[in-house]
Amino acid sequence: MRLTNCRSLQERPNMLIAAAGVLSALAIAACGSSSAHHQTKTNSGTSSKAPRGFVAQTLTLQFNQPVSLNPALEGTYQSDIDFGALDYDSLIYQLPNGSYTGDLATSWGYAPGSHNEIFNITLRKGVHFSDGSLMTAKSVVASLEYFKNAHGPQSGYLASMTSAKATGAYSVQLKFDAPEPALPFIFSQYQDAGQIIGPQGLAHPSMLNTSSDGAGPYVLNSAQTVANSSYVFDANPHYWNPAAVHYRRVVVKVVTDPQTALSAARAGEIDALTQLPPQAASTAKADGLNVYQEPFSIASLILMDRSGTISPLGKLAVRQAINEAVNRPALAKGLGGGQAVPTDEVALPGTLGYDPSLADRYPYDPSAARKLLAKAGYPHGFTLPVLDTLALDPNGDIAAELKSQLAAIGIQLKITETPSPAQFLPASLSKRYPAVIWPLAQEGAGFPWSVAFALAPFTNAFGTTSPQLNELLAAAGALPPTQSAAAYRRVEDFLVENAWYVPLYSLQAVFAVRPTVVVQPPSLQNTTMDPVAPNPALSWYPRGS
Amino acid sequence: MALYVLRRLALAIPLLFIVSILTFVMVALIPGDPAVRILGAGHTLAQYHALDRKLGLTQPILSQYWHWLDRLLHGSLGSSLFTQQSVGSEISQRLGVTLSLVVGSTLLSLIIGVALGIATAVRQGALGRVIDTLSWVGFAIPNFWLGLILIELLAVTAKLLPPSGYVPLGQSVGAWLKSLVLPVLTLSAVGATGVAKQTRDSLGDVMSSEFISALEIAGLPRRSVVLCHALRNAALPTVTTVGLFAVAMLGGTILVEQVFALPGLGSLAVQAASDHDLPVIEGVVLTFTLIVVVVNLVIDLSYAWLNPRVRLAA
Repeated sequence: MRLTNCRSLQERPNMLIAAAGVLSALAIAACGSSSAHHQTKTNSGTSSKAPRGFVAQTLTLQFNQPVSLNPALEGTYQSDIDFGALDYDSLIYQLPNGSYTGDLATSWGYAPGSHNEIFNITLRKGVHFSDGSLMTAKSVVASLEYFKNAHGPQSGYLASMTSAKATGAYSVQLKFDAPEPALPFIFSQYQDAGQIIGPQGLAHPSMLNTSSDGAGPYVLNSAQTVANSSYVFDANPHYWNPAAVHYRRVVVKVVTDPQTALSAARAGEIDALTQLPPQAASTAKADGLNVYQEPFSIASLILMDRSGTISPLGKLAVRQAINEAVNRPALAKGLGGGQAVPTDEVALPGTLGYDPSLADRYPYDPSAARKLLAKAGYPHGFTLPVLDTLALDPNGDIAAELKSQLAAIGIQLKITETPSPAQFLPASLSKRYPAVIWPLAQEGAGFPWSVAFALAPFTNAFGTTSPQLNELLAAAGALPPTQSAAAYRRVEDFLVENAWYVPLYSLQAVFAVRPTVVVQPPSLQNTTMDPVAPNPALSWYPRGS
Repeated sequence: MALYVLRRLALAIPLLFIVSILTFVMVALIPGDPAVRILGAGHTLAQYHALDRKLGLTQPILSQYWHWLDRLLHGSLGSSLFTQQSVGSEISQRLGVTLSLVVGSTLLSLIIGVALGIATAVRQGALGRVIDTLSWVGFAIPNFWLGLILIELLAVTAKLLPPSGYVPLGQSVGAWLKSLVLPVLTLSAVGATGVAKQTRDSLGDVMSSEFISALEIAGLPRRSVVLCHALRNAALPTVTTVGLFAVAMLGGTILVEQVFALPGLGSLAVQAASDHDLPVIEGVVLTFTLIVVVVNLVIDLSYAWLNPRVRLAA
């Protein structure tokens, strides 16, 4: 509903500005409650309608094949996130509205005056791992150090952690050698670094591939599990919050083909599909499933050669011309699966960093684009090698549309397709491609995360930096979230005005759930759907229970 | 016979060696870096390089191959770069699924194909034309599409069978059989019609030969003539066809396992190729090669059983 409103608002700029302002204010307010420079205390208020404890036997979910059952080695897709969350509670829990609440930690926050480089955590008392041992500050420190050194997807997020110390039986202090403003997000269930592994698992990491040692609501039932087909999780008898566990058993079926997954849901064999392509949303609705979708990233053409090393992209007018030659509404309508929102900003409306005044900074105007090209000295255009991956651009549709639209102003895209990120990422680093088609991350940590992601080596192969941007980012990163909105808007203004990217439209995360299950819908601020939560009202339960 | 089997298996060793080299070279030629797949896209170059070093991917390709071969000669296929589980255990977990599919589909193709082939060879007429048509349709229909149709009809609508997933034989024999029915039907469609057509053609040729006429004139019942004499003489081309389809079905499992969400070697191969997980790719390719060698051996042995004039040592 909200996305539909956004689209209609695009046709009414005044209303758009007003609505976006309201949305931004709401987002800022939500972020304000998420964490603070001072210690953040949380409670997990419950709804009177939600049941407490067991009310049903089995919940069956569809996930993709897990990379690993070891949280430190598992992947970063929705499936992997949910896989880990079943048997490993995280330190912090990101609520559906994007704010944070306590899970294994009861409070946390940056040390005053530390410029987001010292992070204090107070742990919940009386929490036991599934092996029965007590969770203490020492076990949390050991788990975080294991994550840092495991060479897994989370290792990078803790790379700047210089020390982790138990400052008491239930308190931990982490120090970093650079500002880390996204730690509540990194330690939430959205990432896995905060999923604390028990001492037995840390002593024998290989056992984590086939069994659990976490403090989550469920424990892997290895005997009933068929690897890569069906994973059975039984309720953890040691769980610290049994009121929040409504199903005695969760079965995860590995089904990678969307059509097969939908058929299984129609046959009543699966209750929830956690990873559907946007194109499958209408089929899922027609099948009687409740469909939830939110934008989780932005399809984009990333102009990497901003220094002009091997292409004319060093000229601002050229980058702006490309931005003006792209028909975003048409791309969103044609390729976005019906719910995509066109955007020429790195942040989406309603999220931190979004600047309503830039909402239509680059309207579709091929003739203006041609004039900009002529002004830059390229009246007849040029050839631009572009790298794409079929894993994120199925059938190369985005590449084909961009090729067609940019040809209208004389820019001939020479597209190189790669089958998967394993091929795309090294090719992107090779500096042979001045531009790449790759999504700008939106995700739960919002704009700061997106910018850091966009400046990572694979989307910034030529290593373009700007002292002005670095200053803006440093200033925003050192501020408490409640005060950083204006600073991040300045970062957004820099990126948009300098046309470092060509954002196109939002990419949707699509979930489908049988109407028999009550779930917490995702939001723009948290696009995941988690079947388990440290709160009876947020954990999924059967309708009517 | 035993010597022949041993000799054939020994000959497979150089074949496996050549296949392993080709696989290694081909994977090395494909651009890709497992470290970036493992870490994701948001990390520093130093972290990727550190993981590359840890995985041994910075060594020259020949050196990597030598280490892999050395491990193999010591009885280990190595570990997956992603899951860090032993490749041997990953393959053994999944081999049963793929073998169930291939053996089940081959047997079903054989039974249905031979039965239809005999029926059409003996009766000719409209049934023969139907089999001809079906065999072409069978070849033309993509098996993933047929799989989806079967799921819709027999699982979603009729609710007779599970739409996807696998139950190990050890957990429940009935559930194991039910989980295999749809994928086996899907895989056997091409094989059954192909075997039927081949059986009909070769049986038709044999039935028109003089010794069959002589047997019929001698007063042997028609059923005995067809089943005991004609069919055995017509069996060699059918066995060859069954062998070819068995190998084709092994390849077909890659798609069928995706459609029915089966945790077999085919889906492991797809995942490993996408991840650039070289030890797993090598393990799966060698397993597939070994299965093909065994299928060919079984075909050769069945030639000798069906026709004693075939000398195995030749």
